[in-house]
Amino acid sequence: MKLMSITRLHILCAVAAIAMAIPAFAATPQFTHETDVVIVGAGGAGLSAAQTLLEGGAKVILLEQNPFPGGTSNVAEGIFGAESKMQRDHYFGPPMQTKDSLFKHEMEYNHWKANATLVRWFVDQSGATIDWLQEEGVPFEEVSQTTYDGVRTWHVIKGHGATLVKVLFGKVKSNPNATVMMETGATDLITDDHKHVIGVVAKNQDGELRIKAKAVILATGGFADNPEMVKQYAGNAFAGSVANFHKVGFGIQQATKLGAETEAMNVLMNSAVYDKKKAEHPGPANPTDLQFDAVSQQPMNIMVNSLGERFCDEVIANNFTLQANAIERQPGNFAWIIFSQDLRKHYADDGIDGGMGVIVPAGTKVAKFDAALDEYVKEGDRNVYSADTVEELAAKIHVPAETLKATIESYNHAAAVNLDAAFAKDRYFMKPLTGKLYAFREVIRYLVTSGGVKTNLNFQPLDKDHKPIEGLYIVGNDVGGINADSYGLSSPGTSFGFAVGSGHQAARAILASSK
Amino acid sequence: MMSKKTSLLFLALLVGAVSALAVANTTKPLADRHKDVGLTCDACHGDGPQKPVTMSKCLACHESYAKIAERTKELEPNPHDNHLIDLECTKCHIGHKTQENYCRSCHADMEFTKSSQAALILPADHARVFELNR
Repeated sequence: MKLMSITRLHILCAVAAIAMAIPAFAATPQFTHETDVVIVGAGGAGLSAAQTLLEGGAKVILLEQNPFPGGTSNVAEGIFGAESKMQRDHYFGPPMQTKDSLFKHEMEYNHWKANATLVRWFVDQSGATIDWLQEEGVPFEEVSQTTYDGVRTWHVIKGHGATLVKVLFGKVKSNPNATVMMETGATDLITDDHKHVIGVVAKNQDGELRIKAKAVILATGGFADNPEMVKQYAGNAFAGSVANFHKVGFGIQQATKLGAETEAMNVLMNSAVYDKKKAEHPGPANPTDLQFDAVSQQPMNIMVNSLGERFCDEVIANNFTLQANAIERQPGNFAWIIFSQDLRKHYADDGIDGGMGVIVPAGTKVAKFDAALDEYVKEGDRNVYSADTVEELAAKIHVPAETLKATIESYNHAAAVNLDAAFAKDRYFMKPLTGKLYAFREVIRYLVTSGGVKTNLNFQPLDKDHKPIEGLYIVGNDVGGINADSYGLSSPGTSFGFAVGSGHQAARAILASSK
Repeated sequence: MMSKKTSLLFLALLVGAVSALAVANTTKPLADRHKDVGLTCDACHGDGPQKPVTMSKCLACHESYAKIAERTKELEPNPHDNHLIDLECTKCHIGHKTQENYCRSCHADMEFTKSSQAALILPADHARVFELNR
């Protein structure tokens, strides 16, 4: 072996010394923060995960892009539960409803196209998750259903979803092991050479953060507020989301970038609503327009399409998913809600016959709607019309007058003889449409998207070989497989319940794996 | 960076300044209201380059969200006790503009009402009643 010259050796030593002076991973940008778990998104799923991790002694950094916590959970109402203590105490538990019966209910509703393993897990943990939330201090007011065809799985929170947000976020925020960063949006995941996730890049007004973590939980709520993405997967973005919380699909995009598979990406929690003027702010509609929405979901109305024809048993309007599905099949994906002066009076004086969840509960005497209706008609650009004759109404809503006339005559006959030959509508809800008539335009919007990433029962995203992507967890509406073609409103609380339950479970899996 | 002693002195001056004030109109921009009680730009913006003020600066004088909520507890709903826990103060109290009700981003008709003429009690040691102008 030829010895190196002194000079050369010196140079090498010098290079080595310089190399040692530079941090070991000069190629990797430095981390600005380090923690056990980073959670992206402080909605129901992220908050549930955060609280569970903190109780298990983990250190958590919780990132929220909005100035406030909660995301869509702020406008949710109740949580799905099977065999909860509340159901037992109200006689809605076994033997009336069991985990087994509700699992079968869910799978039959989904024609066995849903992920049966995931659905079984979801139903099985749901009662215990309600009990856990109660222990955490989340107050519940009732176990209910929200449709005539429903099962009593809906654990409605006192003050609704916003209260869960307030309770859990309050606990998380005051925990010394939690660092909560508001108005801080994640921009990327950091992976190592094995494509294991080891951190998150985020951005806020102070600049870029690079957070190192043992695990990352994506809880970004799906992609309802990303119309391009909705159009790509559902084929149509319809009239947009009901309430914009900037859910643009970050979780799903990041997981799929690392090879995760998705399923049921076309499933929206769609809802038929009054085609209102766009609000000035991106949040939910104002209370008056919410009453118009509720009136548009009344089974005593009729619905006609742009051809002036009825197309369903309007009792399905009580289940907004079904109503939206029937409307989706009509030309232009919209319908006209038609009701009479008598029904207007009935809704205002006696109360509505079906609730819009508990936001506008059944029995509400819709005074705001009644007070605004004439003004809305007069304004002329609110998609609300009235007329003294069917012909006049047909002209205003641009449907063929002859057809609409025949439709209403035929419906009034059905109401008179208590037999709806066309769609077998229950006679209780059939009232002849006479006198002054009203019409509003009904369109499809959606509260959340329901499809997303395929996961195992620890909520690790799975690749095409069903292998988990290490270091990464994904929960709530970023996960697919619970709903197969439509959102399941007849077993209410599934989306909110899945968010809270999956966040809780991912956190427990992380705690177990770090022991 | 102010020393602790200077901060205390500053706080004492602030309390004195606020005590000297009789009534403030909440439609007036927050910065002007602070100016009216004798505070200067650097009280909020510091003496460095002038940056947007964050909550920690507000709470350096106004103590805590809980304390503020206590002071506005007679309003229904209480603007400082809700599900937006610890919302950045400037979302409503926009320094140099008329303040806005951030709750109305979603709750379009949200009003903070009090049975009679609303009066907001500022920190006890300030011992002043501020008229709430709605």
